[in-house]
Amino acid sequence: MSSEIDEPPGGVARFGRLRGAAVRGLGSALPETTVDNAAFAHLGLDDAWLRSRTGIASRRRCDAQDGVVALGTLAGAAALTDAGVSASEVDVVVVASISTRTAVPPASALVAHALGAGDATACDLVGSCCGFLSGVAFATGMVESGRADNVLVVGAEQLSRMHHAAPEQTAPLPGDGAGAVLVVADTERSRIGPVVLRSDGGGPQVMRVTSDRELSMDGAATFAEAVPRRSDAARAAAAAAGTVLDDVDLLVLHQASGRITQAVGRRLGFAGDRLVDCIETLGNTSSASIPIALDLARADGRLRPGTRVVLAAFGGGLVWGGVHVEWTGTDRPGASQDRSPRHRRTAA
Amino acid sequence: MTPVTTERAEGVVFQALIDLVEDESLVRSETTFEELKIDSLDLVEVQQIVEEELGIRLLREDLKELRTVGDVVTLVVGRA
Repeated sequence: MSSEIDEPPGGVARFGRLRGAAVRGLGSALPETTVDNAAFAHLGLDDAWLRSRTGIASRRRCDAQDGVVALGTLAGAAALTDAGVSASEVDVVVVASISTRTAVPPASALVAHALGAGDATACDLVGSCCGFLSGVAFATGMVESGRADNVLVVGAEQLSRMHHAAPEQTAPLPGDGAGAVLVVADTERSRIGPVVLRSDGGGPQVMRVTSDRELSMDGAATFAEAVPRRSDAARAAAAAAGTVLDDVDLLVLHQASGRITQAVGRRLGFAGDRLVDCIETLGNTSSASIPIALDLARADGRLRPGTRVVLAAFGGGLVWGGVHVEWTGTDRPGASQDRSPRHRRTAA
Repeated sequence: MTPVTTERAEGVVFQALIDLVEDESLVRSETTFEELKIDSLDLVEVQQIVEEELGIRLLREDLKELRTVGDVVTLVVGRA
């Protein structure tokens, strides 16, 4: 092991000292209903402007029977099937979300119950759009320290529950969906690098979700804050894992807007197949967007065993971060559930 | 630190815009943002690149009054 990996820069804690952690299972779930940009014409927002400004042409929205728990359960089940691990073997279920219907009971406990992981510890994480990465950090630490063998990390959102503050230009951005990974022990070494997480509560409050579910966001300010911080997080995550971005195969960013994804890609030298940009038909699914994007990248052949991928996210708070992962999951089409009639790839 | 001459500022600003537009031949001093089809988010990206490459901080308010590529270069040199 190189000295760079033994002692990563920036004060990041050492990783993999007790045992390794790796991602084994991956899954996602998308609701059936698709809402295209025409639905926002009454706000004076036309399709061409929305596509140009956000990269979004349509987004998925939950129906009455869906929500964070239902979608999170489907995504979690898909990840477990993909890993070949039964629900009874899961030690911890983490649900990252900013849109759960209740704070108590936590969505994670409901998901664990629905999966049949009745003995698992369960906790919710409210980490803004960076919540999934916080969940991966938590899971990796639990596995590396030997406190858990199998940790299911779910990012799930029903952002369509939110009300949008005037002038409502943020209304077209959110989408609903869920994604999940199973973090397991690896006998050789950690395949999940140090998760570089940062916060700045004194920074500009570019996005806010109040307790009465009102969502507001300053798009231009978010862009200005997100691009450099995500870029820095991606570089730091690679460095903390003892590598550089030139040696990274795939960059998967939280899908906040197509403009931010492309700007970060330009900044870091990622384009085309090396940059996952899948917001066009999904919208911004906050905590869920990274695992959904991973699942789509796997489905189109860009994420395979051995792929070196950097994940990076930025969200209101401010919170942001990144992690380098050597992919150890399968390359087969997953058991994920896309409930749209046009996109069914549902397990039997 | 290398002084920020007009030529150096042009190099940074022009390259930032070339990376953003479809037809790089349009990136000339007299070209307007409207002709380049760039919007306020593109200008934020140019602003960030100027800060990273030249160490010159521009404010969003500064950019609102600008119309052409040359206006950006003039502002950058003026702030150097």
